[in-house]
Amino acid sequence: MDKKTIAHHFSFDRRLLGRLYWFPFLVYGLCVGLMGILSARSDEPFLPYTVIQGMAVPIAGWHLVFLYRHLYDEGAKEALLWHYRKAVVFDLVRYAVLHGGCIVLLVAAVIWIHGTMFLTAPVLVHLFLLFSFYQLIGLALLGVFGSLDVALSVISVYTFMEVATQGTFMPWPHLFLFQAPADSLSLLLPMMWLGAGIVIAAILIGREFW
Amino acid sequence: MAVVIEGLTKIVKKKPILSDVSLTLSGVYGLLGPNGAGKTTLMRIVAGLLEFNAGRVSLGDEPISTGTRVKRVNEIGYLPQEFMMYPELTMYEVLEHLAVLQGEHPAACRSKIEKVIEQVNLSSHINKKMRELSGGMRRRVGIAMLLLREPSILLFDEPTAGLDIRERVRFRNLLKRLGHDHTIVISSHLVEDIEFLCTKIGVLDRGMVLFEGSPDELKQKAAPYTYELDVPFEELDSVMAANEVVQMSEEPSHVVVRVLSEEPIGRPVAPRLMDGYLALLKEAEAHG
Repeated sequence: MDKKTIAHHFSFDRRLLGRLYWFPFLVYGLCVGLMGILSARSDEPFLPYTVIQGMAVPIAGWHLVFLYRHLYDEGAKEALLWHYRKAVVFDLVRYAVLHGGCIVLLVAAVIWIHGTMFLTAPVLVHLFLLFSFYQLIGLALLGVFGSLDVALSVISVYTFMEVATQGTFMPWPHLFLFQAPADSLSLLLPMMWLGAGIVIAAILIGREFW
Repeated sequence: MAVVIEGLTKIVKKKPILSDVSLTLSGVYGLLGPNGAGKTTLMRIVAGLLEFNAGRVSLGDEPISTGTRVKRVNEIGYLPQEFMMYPELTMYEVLEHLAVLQGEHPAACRSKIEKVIEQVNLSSHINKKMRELSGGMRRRVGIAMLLLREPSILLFDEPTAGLDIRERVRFRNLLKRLGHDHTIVISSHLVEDIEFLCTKIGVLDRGMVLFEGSPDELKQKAAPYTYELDVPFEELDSVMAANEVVQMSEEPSHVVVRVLSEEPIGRPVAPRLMDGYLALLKEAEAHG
């Protein structure tokens, strides 16, 4: 695929979403501000890193959900499915690269302030899984419910409750790391849930489009 | 190319929506049936949008169904009854994007888009936003989208429902033209939608196949029952109350009334497609 075709896809998405297209980048800006404030108040690197997990990573799935919601307008899915089944993997890759780049920059900012000590290999793997999960789950839920409102509600309620309660309150799987993992079990469980979530979301997307 | 459906059954909440349906969709095919007969379900199954419980679907000799689902093959294109997409974008922007999704290069797809827009007679509306198009125009954009994919079989679900008379005529003419180089399946509950258009007809009622054959064979179903009466204006109400009136046409001194009747009444006439269809439904109703 050449540059002109890739540029066409991004340009079409910008026209389709209008001002909404820039929302995730605005949130990334807010994350930078929030990370700066938290870093000024504490030396604990997991505080700004929580901002990346709880705000930046979930918002990284925004574009795909908002772009594909048009498929669930009246009768649109039946008319557009054949066209989109060829594009869904390409769209996933496109936005994973775009937002992956932004997340890497945000992590680099935390490293710049706090050093690399907190970013162990297991934490990095967890971040990769968390990012992949949020890239896929929005699209999967959109397909299951056929409604942007319901899909967004499920994602935002889960994410907000998890972050607000630091993963200690609700009796559901916990996906985030709010502090440096004390033992292998505290890292293994979230990664196991994330792995399962990624597989289920991928199956749901596959069933929807193929 | 023909779509061969064998023993297709679809059950929803223990209620059969389609029961052992076997049809061969070829040529310009009219799928007739009253509302709720299972036409849309059948079309959506063939298009790979809905699962079924039993049966088999093939494209010519090649099976395209695996287990309980028809594979979404490129040869089949489906246009739903109603759809709305990308209301804020122009028709050209939408078609350009869909062409690019099909693998066309953005710099080279203009001529292809203009060609399909011309085919559906919408060249003068190319820069209109999708929300500004009428229902009929939107459906023609839907056909243009299908033509971009170049499927050989086109499925249209109630294509003229809700359209005004001019749009209906335009749409029928378009389908006639497309029928020259595509297999076309049109589902409708209106006989006039498919009369003069279809080379083959299937009739569904309550999920079962009542008939499959040529339009002439369907007409013959009503041959023994079709009569015309010349009725004075003042007797029209009583004739309508006593008989199953299919059609009426007004003459200066009387009304010519076409009826379906098992008893000889008036003069026997050659049946039309509508007569055959109604006679078939009546026969099915009588047999429960």
